[in-house]
Amino acid sequence: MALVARDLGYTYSAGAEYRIEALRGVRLTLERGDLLVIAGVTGSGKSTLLRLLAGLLEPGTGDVEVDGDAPRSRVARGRVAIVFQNPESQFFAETLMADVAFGPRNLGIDAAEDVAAAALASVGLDPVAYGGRSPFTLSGGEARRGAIAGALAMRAPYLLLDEPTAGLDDSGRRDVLAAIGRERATSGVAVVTHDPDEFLGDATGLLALDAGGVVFEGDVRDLIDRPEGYLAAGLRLPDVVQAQVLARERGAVIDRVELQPLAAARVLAQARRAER
Amino acid sequence: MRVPVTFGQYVPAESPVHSLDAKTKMGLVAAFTTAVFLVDGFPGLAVMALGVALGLRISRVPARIALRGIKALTVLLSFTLIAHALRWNPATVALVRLGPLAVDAGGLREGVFFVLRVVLLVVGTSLLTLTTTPVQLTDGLERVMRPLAALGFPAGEVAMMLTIALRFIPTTAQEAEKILVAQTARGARFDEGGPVKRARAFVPVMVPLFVNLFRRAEDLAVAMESRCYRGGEGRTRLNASAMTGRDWLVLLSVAAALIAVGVVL
Amino acid sequence: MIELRDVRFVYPGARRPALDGVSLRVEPGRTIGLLGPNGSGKSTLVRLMNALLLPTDGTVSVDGIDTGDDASVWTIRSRVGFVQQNPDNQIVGTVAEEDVAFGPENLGVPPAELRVRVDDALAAVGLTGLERREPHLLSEGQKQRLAIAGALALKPSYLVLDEPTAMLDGAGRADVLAALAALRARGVGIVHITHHLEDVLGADRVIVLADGRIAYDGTPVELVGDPSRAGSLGIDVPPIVVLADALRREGIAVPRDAVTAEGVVESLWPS
Repeated sequence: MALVARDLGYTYSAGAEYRIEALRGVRLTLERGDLLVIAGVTGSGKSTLLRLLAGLLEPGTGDVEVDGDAPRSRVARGRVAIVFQNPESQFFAETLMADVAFGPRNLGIDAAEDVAAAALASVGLDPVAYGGRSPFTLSGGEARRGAIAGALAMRAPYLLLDEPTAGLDDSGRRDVLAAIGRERATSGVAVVTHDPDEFLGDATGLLALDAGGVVFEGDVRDLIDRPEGYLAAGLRLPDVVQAQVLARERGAVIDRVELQPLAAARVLAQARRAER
Repeated sequence: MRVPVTFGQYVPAESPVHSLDAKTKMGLVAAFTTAVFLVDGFPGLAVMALGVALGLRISRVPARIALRGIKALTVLLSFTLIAHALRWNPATVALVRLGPLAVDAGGLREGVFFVLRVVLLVVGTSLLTLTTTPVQLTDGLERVMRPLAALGFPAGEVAMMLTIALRFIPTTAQEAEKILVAQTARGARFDEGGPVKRARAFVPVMVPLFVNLFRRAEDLAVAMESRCYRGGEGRTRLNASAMTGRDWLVLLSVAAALIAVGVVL
Repeated sequence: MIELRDVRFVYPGARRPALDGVSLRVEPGRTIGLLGPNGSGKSTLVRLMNALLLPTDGTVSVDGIDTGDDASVWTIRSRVGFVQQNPDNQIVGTVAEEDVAFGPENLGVPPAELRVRVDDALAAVGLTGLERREPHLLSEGQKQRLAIAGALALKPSYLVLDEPTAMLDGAGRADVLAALAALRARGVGIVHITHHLEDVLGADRVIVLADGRIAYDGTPVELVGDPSRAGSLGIDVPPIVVLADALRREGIAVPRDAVTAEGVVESLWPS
């Protein structure tokens, strides 16, 4: 039971004069409870990958399976939910509740409003206080969480998010990160981002793309041993990891890289003391 | 994913027609249209057709593209031809007879003449839009409309509106596509049910599209004010297009030739 | 100098002022980072600086000219360039160079000088060569630099930017920040609104707004050096600063101005 991609590739305007190979040779497995970070700069193919995983595009090469079925098949409908960039710019209904209930209603889920209310609660928006409000009057962080609730209400076992924290202030970001964390209890979550710092601490896997190809895949901690492709893709190592990379270059003995700043500080302090 | 969005009919090429000022080409289109209406015989049309063919040749626009505009008119043109050619119990000798309905030589000739005239007009005037970018067209339009400003017509503002509309067409198209995909991902179906159901399915696309357009408009107004926009008056232009000696020469000689053909033939 | 004196601003129909008791100076060649949560009054503050808004109470002046002076509004707007968050929404021209020319065209600058100004402005943000490119074919970072060039073509003494990096990826953000640093070096005074303290670690000053009032006014290093203070202001301190702070608590001396990975490591293992 997983969302699986094998040798996935896609070319825009295939066969035309100015075709663009957006993606090639991607394989990944997303299981419930996972947090997979897909990193890449603009144009690296990460948005195309997301659309392929969600079944919004037909793969050019390779295939995608959702719990054993093709994502575009009827049985798999609703198994993958996706949150696009700035999802709050897709609000259309008069109330937040109606907007969040749009997805489940389309899927024919009974009691769509109850499902919507549960989704709102899970992103930290009280359905009673917020359900009746116009989605157009919400603050930045509230609107983003409301829009994410619209995807959660699909009750999909796999959730894909494209730049879920972009443009938010610090408190909005913390709220969204907390909502994603809660969602992981029941779903497999993949986050696509050009700035993966804030997700790496909790990530179960990292996939980095550059110009449509995979330049890194594996455990985030492995970045310290083979950061070349990642850096060449225009991505920046998180400062906390970078500090440990530099320390190692200058002779410090570090066996296990830590991703959280406090744990990393302990590692660095230990290495420093060990020298004395 | 950044896919080039093309709109309008412009066919990029380096040619003497492309490099003419938009105002020159507008003037030529006006002369051409007048001439085609003045012509009252097949010899005149033949000369005009030669002229159009020559124009196409010089502009390096493939004839296939220039003739594309005709396709949309096929039904209308067929109807025109039939309406002209068919007569009710004509006194003249009929070529074909079907009960009281008949096709005679005069009617057929008339129909063919009208059809050819429309074809010529469409292909000839499309030379303007095929060889001029929308931006150049807008600029040209502003200059052509400028004398109207004296009568209180806001020529500068109208041109600015057109420019902004042109600027935001690709952006809005990209946005509409994004919203469409996003709502599809939420299970929306745009291809099911009758026309009413289908139209209703687009509400979740149109509402956000318009909300975002209004937000854009607000931002744009702030940006324009911040950059000292205060109407068309006193504005200068970076790429003020000016008619050169060559433009005047082409405009006057070709226009004179066209009108002369129209009057004589 | 842009000078705000005891400024209060209330939006029509609003119960609470968006800004209250704000005084501050923006000097040429200096950068001010402006932080604060959504709704704290940052956008209102910068809109007061180029006469898009006029203060309810108090005064705002640009190089000594009061922004309430109707006759000088275009002088003020050409001295204070304004760049917004979404580059798509502020580009007017259908190709890059025509967008840059838009401001000076409005002022009636003659075509020959327009050409010079456009070329200079595009060069200042590193977009030389893309003069005829259509905006929707530029990357987000290029679009935002184009918007900055559009402001520069008015030859402003000050540049005010409302979250200019919010929609950019790492590379786009770095390019915009580099362009801003170059402008500061040329003597332009910069006010930079952002949600990321990292964006303005190199600023001369950081001001934090909370509920329409100035809650902090100091150097960025002082602010990151005091995580509890930053936390009480609702600002997330960059992880590397948290790391440095933890090292200090472990008894390792890390200077307060070490706010990058290099800086921290340098203090532990000098190269």
